[in-house]
Amino acid sequence: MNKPDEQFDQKLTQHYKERKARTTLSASQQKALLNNASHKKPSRLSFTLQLTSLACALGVFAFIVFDSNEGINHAPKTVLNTIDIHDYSIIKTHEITPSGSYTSAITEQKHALDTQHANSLRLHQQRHIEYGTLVKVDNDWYIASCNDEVLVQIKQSLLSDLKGKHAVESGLNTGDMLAMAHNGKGQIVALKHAGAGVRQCGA
Amino acid sequence: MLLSIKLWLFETPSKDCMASYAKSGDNRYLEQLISLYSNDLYHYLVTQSNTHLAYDVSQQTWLKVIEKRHLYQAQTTPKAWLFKLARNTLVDEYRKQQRFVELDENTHLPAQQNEQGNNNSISNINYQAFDSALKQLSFVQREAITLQQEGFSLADIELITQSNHESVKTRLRYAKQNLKRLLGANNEQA
Repeated sequence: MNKPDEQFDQKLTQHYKERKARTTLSASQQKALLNNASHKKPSRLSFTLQLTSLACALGVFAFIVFDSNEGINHAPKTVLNTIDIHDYSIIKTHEITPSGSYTSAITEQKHALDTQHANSLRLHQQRHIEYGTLVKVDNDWYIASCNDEVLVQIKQSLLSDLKGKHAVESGLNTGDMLAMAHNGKGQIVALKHAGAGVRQCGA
Repeated sequence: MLLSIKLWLFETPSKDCMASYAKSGDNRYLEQLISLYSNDLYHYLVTQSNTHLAYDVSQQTWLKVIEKRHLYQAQTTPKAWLFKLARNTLVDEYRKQQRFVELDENTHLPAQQNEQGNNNSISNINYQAFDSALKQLSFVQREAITLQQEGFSLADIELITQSNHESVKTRLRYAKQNLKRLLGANNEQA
């Protein structure tokens, strides 16, 4: 840096300092700044925003969950291999007990359906042929009855007994519409294809 | 145990009041900050605007310090952070008022024609002439030279003005050239 530049910079600094000394806040202005700042509480805006965001997120989450649950309830109950027992009000179980006697039971899923339970039981005992879709096969068979809220569970014990009596038609697969033949006591005595005339519930 | 008691008893206050305030929210630190920097900040704002707007923006800036203290990072100097807040507040205020801010940093200003001609020497430059010349610089040139005189490093000026290194250097160079022209100081060099 040459001499004139140095001199200029020195003069610049000198004048700047002078200018700064002349341009200060008055005592009252500084006091006002201190008072304003000391009495100002930090805004709760950021906290409020966080809370609002959380509420929105929860709302969206709840909407997704409940909306999808509603979707499940309206979905066909005979979707293969996707049984949700809670979709059914009643589960009728047929089996041969270890003592060799035939038992069938209806398990209520909802206590408020006592009356419906009684009616279903009456229909169950009166009906001779009941139709339904074979929805799942493992040890037991699960047949979604055309009586909309009934899932018929046929336990391995009864299946073995019926097969032993050649009362189960061969070639029954999941998705097939079945006819369940009942005797006068409401016991299932045979399982077979529903036939060409009955391909879906209500047909 | 004894050491921790000793530390507690003889704890020296942190030099970075801003960091302490950001951490604790204790108004004592805020008051220290105001005492330390309010005049520097006010002078910068007056240089870039006028006394009325400078005081108004100054108040807004201190309120922003309270609101945004959690955003302060101790890596930057507290003064630079305060000036950055003040600068942004001032620019926002200009935008609200729809006032044009001169950003042309390559402006060459004509030499001042005074009664004595162009025979001013550096030693003859008086305060009024300096003040007048400073006010004639563009916003960014005046800002660069003011921040440099305030003691900020180039890196600090880059942070405060959110500009790159070369821009800051160019603004400083042109600011000085223009001041020399306006004050007639070039004649002595010639």
